[in-house]
Amino acid sequence: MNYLDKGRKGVIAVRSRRVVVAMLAVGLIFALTACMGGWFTHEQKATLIIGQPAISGNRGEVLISVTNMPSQGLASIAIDDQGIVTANIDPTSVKVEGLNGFTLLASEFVGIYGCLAAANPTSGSVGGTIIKITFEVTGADPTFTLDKTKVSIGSALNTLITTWDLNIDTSYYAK
Amino acid sequence: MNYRWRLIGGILALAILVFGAVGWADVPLPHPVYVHVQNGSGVSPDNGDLTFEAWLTKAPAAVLTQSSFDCDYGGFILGYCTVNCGNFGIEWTAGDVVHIEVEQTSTGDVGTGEFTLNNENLQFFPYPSGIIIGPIPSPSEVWVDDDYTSASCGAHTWGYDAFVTIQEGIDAVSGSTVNVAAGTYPEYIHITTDNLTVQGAGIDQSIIDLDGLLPYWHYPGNGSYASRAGVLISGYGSPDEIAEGVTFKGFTVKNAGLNPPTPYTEYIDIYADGQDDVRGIGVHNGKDILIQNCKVENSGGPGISVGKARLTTLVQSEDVTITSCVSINNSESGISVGSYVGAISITNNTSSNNKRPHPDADREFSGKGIEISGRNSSNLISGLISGNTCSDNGYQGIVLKNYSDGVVIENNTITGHSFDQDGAGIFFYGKSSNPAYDQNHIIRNNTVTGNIRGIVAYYAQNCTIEGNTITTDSGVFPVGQGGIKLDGANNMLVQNNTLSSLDGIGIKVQNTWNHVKAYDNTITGNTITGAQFAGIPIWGGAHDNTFEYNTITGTTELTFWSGQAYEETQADGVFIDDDAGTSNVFHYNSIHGNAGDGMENQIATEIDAENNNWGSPTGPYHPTLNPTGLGDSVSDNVDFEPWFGAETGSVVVDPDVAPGDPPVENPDAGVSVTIESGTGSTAVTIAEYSSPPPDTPSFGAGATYMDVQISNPGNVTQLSITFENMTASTVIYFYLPGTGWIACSNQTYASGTITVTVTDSTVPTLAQLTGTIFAGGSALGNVNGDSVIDVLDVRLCLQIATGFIEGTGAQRASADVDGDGDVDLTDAQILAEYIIGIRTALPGGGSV
Repeated sequence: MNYLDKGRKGVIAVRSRRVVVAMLAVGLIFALTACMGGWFTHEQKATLIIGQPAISGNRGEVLISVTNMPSQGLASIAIDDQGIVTANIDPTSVKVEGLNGFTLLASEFVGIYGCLAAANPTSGSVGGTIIKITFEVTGADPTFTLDKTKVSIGSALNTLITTWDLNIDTSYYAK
Repeated sequence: MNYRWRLIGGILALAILVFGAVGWADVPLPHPVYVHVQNGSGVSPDNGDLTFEAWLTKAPAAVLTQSSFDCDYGGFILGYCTVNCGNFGIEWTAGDVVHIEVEQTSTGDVGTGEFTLNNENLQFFPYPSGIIIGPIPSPSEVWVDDDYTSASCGAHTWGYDAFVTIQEGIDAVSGSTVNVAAGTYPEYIHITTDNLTVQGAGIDQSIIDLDGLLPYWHYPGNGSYASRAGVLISGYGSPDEIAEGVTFKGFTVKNAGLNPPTPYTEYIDIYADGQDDVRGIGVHNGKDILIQNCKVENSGGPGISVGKARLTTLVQSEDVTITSCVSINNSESGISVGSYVGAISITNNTSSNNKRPHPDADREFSGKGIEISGRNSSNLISGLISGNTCSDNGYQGIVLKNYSDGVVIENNTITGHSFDQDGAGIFFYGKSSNPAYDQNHIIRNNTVTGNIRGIVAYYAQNCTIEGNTITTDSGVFPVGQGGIKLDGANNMLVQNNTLSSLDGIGIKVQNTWNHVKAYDNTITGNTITGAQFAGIPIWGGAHDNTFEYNTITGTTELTFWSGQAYEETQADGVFIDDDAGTSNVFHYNSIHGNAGDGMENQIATEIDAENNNWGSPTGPYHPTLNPTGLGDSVSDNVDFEPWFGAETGSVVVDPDVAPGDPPVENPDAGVSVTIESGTGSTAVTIAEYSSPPPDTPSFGAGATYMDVQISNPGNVTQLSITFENMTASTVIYFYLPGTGWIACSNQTYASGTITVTVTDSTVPTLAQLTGTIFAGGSALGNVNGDSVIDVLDVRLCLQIATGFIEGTGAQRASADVDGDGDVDLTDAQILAEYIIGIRTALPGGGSV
């Protein structure tokens, strides 16, 4: 009985170590694939990204980018009045520029609020930077945040893109 | 033989001349007189069956007989007495009268005649100027001249076929004709003879002037109003109670009832105007009657009246024609027809200035140009009223009343009926508020101008009012009446009328005061310009009426019922009152340029007003539903989407067409579409435009623009479009945005028709026939036409502005938000500012 009990304990101990190793291996594989961007489902979803301000001296810069946009890509964007909320920037110094074929059509920054509209008449962006915003810093830790409910985006097929996420992690796209 | 007799005759003639010249001057010259003899049946006595005695009236003792030398009956000429006046034994001269008495031996019938001699070698007196023996028949034709005397009546027989009064001639004649020479005849006339023509020398030539005369009345008592007329044609007293086959033409009849000797028992003056109410020409119980080329003026009653003889059991007239007459200045209607059965013809008459003050305190004038009525609900009047001119009568121009069915009123001119508050140009109504007694009329191509109301259908059904030109003039009365009024009318077709210069509303549809409904009427293709209050108002429960292809512009403001609790001020193209019925629909109309709303709907039920043109490709203005619309405004409860960006000439829509179905036809455009093959059904729209749709480039002079649209090309594999009335050299082009006009690839010509075949591999393709129809409009800024102005419209605008796409006409019109006629980056920027809230309105639109 004791042998059996002892031996049985030993078997169990060996098996437990093998399971732990196997689980570690699987976890490593999952981690690697995740780092490659090919496993986590949220990374497949259309995403609008507003980056963290990059500050250099008294000037700052924010990029607006997209990824995984459907229907041949994002081709138009409208951020309604008060759709952009800022802090510690000079609103009168804000300049907005369309990138990668996007034409800025309208923008306005007053007080802490801002809005803009831009479009690409010829094609859409499945992924990439579409707008650059520059400004003068007036205080520590300037911020740009978006109210998703005030943002409309359209595709290159001139259809609304209604399912998308807003991401404010600047390193997200950079990764 | 013949030569020999001629030679002898020549010798005798020469001898007569020689002897006469050398000393036979005292010897009477031979002068044979040949007088025809016949009995009342037109048969001459046989030879030997007639004796006569003849003498000169200046010497009755010298008598010649059939046995005298050179005298004879029938021997020289069959049926003729020969009296040689040279054998009287006394000298005769021209102007002498020879008297002849004859007797038929076998019958004892006698006859006489007197014949004036002349200087001719011989004289013939054929029938009817010869001698008639036995009972003398009435002449079938007589002559009347106010200049005749017993001694001077032309070639006629005084007292037999020649008279100085018309009535004598009528009484004497047996059928056929009374010929009346130019002159003045102061006499009342009555005609009860069938198959008689009484013909004068013409208007203002043969004049029956009744001033100061005692009117003739055909029967006395209560019914005598209908028994009197300047010229009365009546069946009263005849066996069948009908005066049939009478023609009266070529007269002026005037002053009937004027200044009669008073008092007299039958005097009637209902209107108290001092003139006996006597008609000019009256037809009572007439059948197959023609009144032609007569002028009737200044009668105490109607000028020309057709109706019943009241004291007869048969109380109607039928088959009457009144043509080329003038009826003016009479105290009642110019031409009045009542108690009539069947078809009447009233053509090319003038009926003007027939009016007198109305005896009722709340009315102004009576007197109509032409009014007709059937006898009763089983005997309705029909017929033709054409080419007449009715002007300035006291009440109305042309009136169908009581019982009528199938009257055509066309090509008349009716103007100036603005003397009475209820005046109208054409007015037709059914007895007892029953539209079934007032139906199936056609009122077309009339000029109805300057009347208080234009055309009024009151208790009517199944009539067509088309192609009329209408203006209104309220005269001294308040403005506001209708150009066309459907009042308690149903199943009417009102089409292609032109209404302008209106002293009130355009086309009014309403139930009557006693709730007879206006429904199932179709009002289409009319042009209403410059109405007041509303181009088309719908009042009082009117329902289920259809309004299509009408153009309503330039309506100005007017207030009804001023000062009342229900005072209403409008200037609308279309006004639907709060008591109007439901299911009135408006499609394919062009409603723009009105001072008020394009359409105001006061009822709670939404009205179907889709596919109308509101004067702008951006659609009608509505403060919330289409705030950027630049067209006429619309009220709540108006379903105005989709709308047309251009005026359409005609539009035909078939929502469900499948292979094997008959062609969809737009007859006005001359275009039809056939689904040749496919797997299912599709809607087909065929539209015609009078000019290029907005922002579509013109093809050039002489081009016409059609639009063929299908809703479901996936169900179609091949269709054909046929264009009628084409020439062999005509080419059908297709407008492809971004490319321009390109010729359709598969088109063939045969017998005046071009057929274009469309498949997935042709130009155009089936897919290119989809989308909004060519002239489909959309709101300013709503470039993609999805009814929402958003980021998609901004990009589409930018695409058009940058030339990446050309855009359809409607898209370009909507994208031109600054209204400068071009779509550029500024438009995209403005639109972008608008959608993100930088600006609250587009340059031409309303507020958000």
